[in-house]
Amino acid sequence: MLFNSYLFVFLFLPLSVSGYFILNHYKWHRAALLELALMSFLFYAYNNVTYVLLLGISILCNWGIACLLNRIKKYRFRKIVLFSGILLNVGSIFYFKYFDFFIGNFNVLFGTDFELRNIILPLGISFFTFQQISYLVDTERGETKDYCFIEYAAFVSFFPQLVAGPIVLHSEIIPQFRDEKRHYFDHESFSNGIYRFAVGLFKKVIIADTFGKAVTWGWSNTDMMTSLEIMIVMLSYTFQIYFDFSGYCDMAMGIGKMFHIELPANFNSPYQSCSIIEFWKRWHMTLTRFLRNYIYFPLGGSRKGKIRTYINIMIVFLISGLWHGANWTFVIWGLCHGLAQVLNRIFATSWEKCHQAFQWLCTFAFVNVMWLLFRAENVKQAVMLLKQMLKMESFTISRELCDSFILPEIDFLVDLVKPLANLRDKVYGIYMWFCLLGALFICLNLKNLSEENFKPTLRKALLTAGLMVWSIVSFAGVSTFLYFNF
Amino acid sequence: MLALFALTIAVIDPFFHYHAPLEGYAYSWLIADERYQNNGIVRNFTYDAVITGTSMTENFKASEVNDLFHVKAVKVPFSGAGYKEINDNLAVALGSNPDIRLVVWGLDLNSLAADKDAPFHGIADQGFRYPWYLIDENPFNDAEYLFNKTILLKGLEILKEPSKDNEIVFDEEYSWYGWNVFGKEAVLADYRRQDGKADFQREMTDEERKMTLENVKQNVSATVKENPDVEFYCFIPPYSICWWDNAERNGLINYYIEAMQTAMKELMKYENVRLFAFWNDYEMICDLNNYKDYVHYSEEVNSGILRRMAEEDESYLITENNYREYLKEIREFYTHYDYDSIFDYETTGE
Repeated sequence: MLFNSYLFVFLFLPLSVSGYFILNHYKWHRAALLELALMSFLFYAYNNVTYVLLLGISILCNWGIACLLNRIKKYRFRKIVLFSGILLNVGSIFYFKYFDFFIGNFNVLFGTDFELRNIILPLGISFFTFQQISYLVDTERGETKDYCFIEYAAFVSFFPQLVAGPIVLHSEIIPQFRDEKRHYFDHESFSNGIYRFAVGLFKKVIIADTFGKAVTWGWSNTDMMTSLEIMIVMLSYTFQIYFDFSGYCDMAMGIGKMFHIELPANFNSPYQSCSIIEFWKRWHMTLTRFLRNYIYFPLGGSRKGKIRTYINIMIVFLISGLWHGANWTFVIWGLCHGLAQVLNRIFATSWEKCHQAFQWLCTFAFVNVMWLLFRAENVKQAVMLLKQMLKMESFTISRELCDSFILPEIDFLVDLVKPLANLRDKVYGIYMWFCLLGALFICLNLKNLSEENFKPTLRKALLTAGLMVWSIVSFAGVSTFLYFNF
Repeated sequence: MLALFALTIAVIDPFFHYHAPLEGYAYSWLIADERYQNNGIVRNFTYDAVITGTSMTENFKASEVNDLFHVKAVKVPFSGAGYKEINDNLAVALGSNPDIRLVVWGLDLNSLAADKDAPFHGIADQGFRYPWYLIDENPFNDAEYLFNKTILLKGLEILKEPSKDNEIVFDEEYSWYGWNVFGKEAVLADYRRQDGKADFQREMTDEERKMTLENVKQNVSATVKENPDVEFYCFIPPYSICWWDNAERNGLINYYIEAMQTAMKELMKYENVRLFAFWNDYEMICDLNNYKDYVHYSEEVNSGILRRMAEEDESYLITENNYREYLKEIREFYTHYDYDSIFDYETTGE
């Protein structure tokens, strides 16, 4: 189920939140958690019924392994069990996500002809397996407590974060489940939640999806785009991925707050970063935290000398790249980010001396080019697009690209105001420039929602209602059926 | 706010989901909206005759049908549809309106030999999201209609210029003759002749014959049988000689004629069906000036079809007694036609 669907907004969300608080009201806390877990399974089942089994099995196995870890006293045995647990998780993620990629590359390398399985990727598998790996590691370290199975299941499957993060830790969530004060409906947290949800919904449905249209246009015309068009499409993707993902996380946090549960922030205005090191402290923060705590530190982090540090960084970013998807584009994307990170460290002092505007521009440009690689269907295509863009040969912008930025409701309103309509007719692609500049403005100037000191006021209420309505009525368009020859 | 939004849409109802159109307002009749509107039209309009089929029926004028058959017709065509889609809508019409006396039904030859559940061709690969929420009977998914800004904007457009002239008659509605160029030049500019030619004109396989029959049985006969009091005027739309050229190039002349034969044999069984086929109107078919591309004919051809059906013109009415002879004759004609002559002479000044 998607957050941006009628079913979710009108039915699923109100039902699950009210059910949770009603059960808690009667002090049936276990039942409330059970309700939460069951609703989460339902949420997951809506996409693919069979994969609910996978989620269930994954939770059961990891719970079993954790129980085993709690029983075993001997250090060596504990390590063996932990190792097999991690292997099991990595194995399942490998099978579902990378098997075809692996077979495909194997075939190319050795000229073999093994059949691809065409496995459909279970939604969110990368998130819930990583989350459970961290749980196993913490259990081995003796950091998990006497959680019961329902608590564990509710924590892993908690639907706001199930399919796209943030990657939460047990120590962040389960204590909140247990906190009696949080069992009761909290007016302020709830209204903050709705506000945050509305903003997230708006970021996803109105902003990201508008840029998404331009990106879709770009990727269906890769051979024909001019240099300037590629640049615009690249920028559009940079904004699309940010507003899409951070909008999703805002919605997740908003829903969490409706349940009176705080989820960790995942973004901190990443496009304001002035270096790649800073970028990764601000982008997908819970992934960075996971990689740091569960891969970088165990590898020795920065304590084993410079060279090892750099190697460790490269390993972490290689894994990060692979985690994002089974394609060489992601691998190279990860390695490039790792390399930039290393260079950033080596030349830290000289970099610090540069003007901030220069630092920002370089960082932003680098991130943009990397997103181009990230979005490309294969490395060849990315290189082709990059070359075509840098050639700076052609600067026309097609009508279709400009038109993908038109929001029909805005156009309708502009039509009503004569001077605006005149301006629109005179300036070619005005909506496009407005969207690009507007998005840049938001990324660079607006405060993070988490930093806002939320107070429920009439203004906020109206803003919430406005954003919510605008987004909801944009869920379904009218699909145009272009059958040219009828 | 949301309630007001939904209410506005429900009152204007651009796709006639809840009620017939408000009188005097200019509703939009984009061909692209047929799939959104046709279900509402058959459920909520007042009528006793239906014109349906593919784009080959879009240029019919309901007023002509009304005059010739003394009925009040609605036109609900589906561009590029397969048999199932058209029939499903017709079934809704017949199920919800007991007054229906007449159905004018275009049965296309190019989608006849197809799987009985084949979707409308050309749609699936274009990412078209079929508006099931308007078609199924689940009231909850109406949310997609009522909370939809595109539909609200459509509705507001409709409110703009109310006038008495905005009466809906289904003449111009859904038609495309007004904005297309007809003529030999246009047809030949659009038609890409296949280079090579098949070695022989192949027959249908048993499998294909079975598939065709199942298609007709499920998507035509069943409806005909269930509604014995309704007259079904079915016809096979006459595509241009270029279409036959393409069939010949692909070795499919016999194949198509057999498909037709299968359909004819099945449909002749029913007393309430009048089946017409216009493939023997050679003069019209071979004159590309009647077409805009290799299949689509002009509105004059539509008028001619209606007239001949109303007159029950025996040259085109298919019966138990004449269908063998009819098929033999057209097979003869299209097998031996000099297709190269289409492209032979100068096209300028045509």
